[in-house]
Amino acid sequence: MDFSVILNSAAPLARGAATTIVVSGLSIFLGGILAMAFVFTRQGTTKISLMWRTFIAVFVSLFRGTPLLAQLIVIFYVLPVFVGIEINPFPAAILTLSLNTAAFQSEIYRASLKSISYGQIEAAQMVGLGVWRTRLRILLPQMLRLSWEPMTNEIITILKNSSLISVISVIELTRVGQQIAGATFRPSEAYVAIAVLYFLMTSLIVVAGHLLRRRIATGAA
Amino acid sequence: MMASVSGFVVEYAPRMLAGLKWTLILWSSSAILAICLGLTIAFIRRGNIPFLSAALSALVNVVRGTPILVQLFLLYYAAPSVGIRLDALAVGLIGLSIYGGAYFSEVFAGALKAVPRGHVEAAQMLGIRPRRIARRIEFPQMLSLSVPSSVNQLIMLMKESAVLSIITVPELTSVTTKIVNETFEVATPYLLMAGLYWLVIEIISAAGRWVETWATRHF
Repeated sequence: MDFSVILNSAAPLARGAATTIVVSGLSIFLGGILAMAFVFTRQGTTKISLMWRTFIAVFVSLFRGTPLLAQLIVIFYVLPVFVGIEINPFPAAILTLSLNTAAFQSEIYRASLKSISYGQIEAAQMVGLGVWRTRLRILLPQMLRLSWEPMTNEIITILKNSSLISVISVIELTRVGQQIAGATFRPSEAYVAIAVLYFLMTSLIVVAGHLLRRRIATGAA
Repeated sequence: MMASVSGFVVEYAPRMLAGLKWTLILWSSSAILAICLGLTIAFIRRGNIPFLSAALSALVNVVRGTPILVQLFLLYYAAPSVGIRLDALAVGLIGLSIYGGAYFSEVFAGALKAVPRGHVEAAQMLGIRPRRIARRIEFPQMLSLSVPSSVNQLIMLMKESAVLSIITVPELTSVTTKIVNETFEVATPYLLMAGLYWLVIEIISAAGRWVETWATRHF
């Protein structure tokens, strides 16, 4: 193997890795907001909230129960047929990954919300905090803290799955690897290089997760 | 719209079902291989064999830390340059098995740790030999403890199998894309495809819930 071709392509590889990080990070963030919104609006006993709850259940089941590649294809190729507007690869990728992770994250946050004792909500009401203030200031920080472990896994999953958006020609790390393999006729070096970069990124997430756990354990977070 | 949909289904259902058949064949065979691989790795790692256990742990981390798409590219496009030439189907089967095996090894290692220590100690007290303890005490309990996570891994494997379409394995996603390219009909085939995946995965998870209650009936 001759890795000098890889050193010559260091700049595009770095750009590809940066795109992968940006796409994954943005999707985790946007999906997280959507997931929190789902988790906090699932309560209620009116007819409308019942319908809303059914919608969320179907949404979660659909996005957890189909391959991400199928979701990507449907949003990129099928959605424009119904909506009538073309969607660019980049926003389509962010949209798909965000909706996908929202489904998984809403399950994570639902579990962590369940483990917070109801007495805290009552106490917050007693001291006069509003519903949303209770959610944002009392529940949200604890939910984030309780869900660090499944969230580490989810972030790794999204980072790895973001390789699939190369299929709709977003120039992220995998796509850059394909381009280098095609241009230099050295697929071994190109794919080993991107595998190493992916492994570095996921390892960093694992390490960050452990550091976070230590902070949480000592009560500093 | 409805007429065209039903016409489409009648015309292309056989091909899509053939694709689904390949998806199911690849999924089930790679699931069996992945479970065997996962069990082997879990027991070797627990055995604390010098070098081998550590090397396997590192390998499992690499497989779990890189996208399956990149692993498939390595097997399909990079392996020929070191003299390993495999066709798309073989790459699909091997790739899915290795990826699944790494995850299954973690599932089984976790379940093995969850087997109550007292059961092993009690068996030792009764003078049962270590191999027999592993086979008759630890193994059965580990299997039933690992059912819920195993079902999750099986569902993950089914979803990952769609990625094989990128290296031209003739499974459901790639057959559907071919039909789309031939007919210029986009919505119906792709939505049908998504529906089929959903159905299969719902069936797997329903079956998983049934197996779970069956496997934990003694607890």
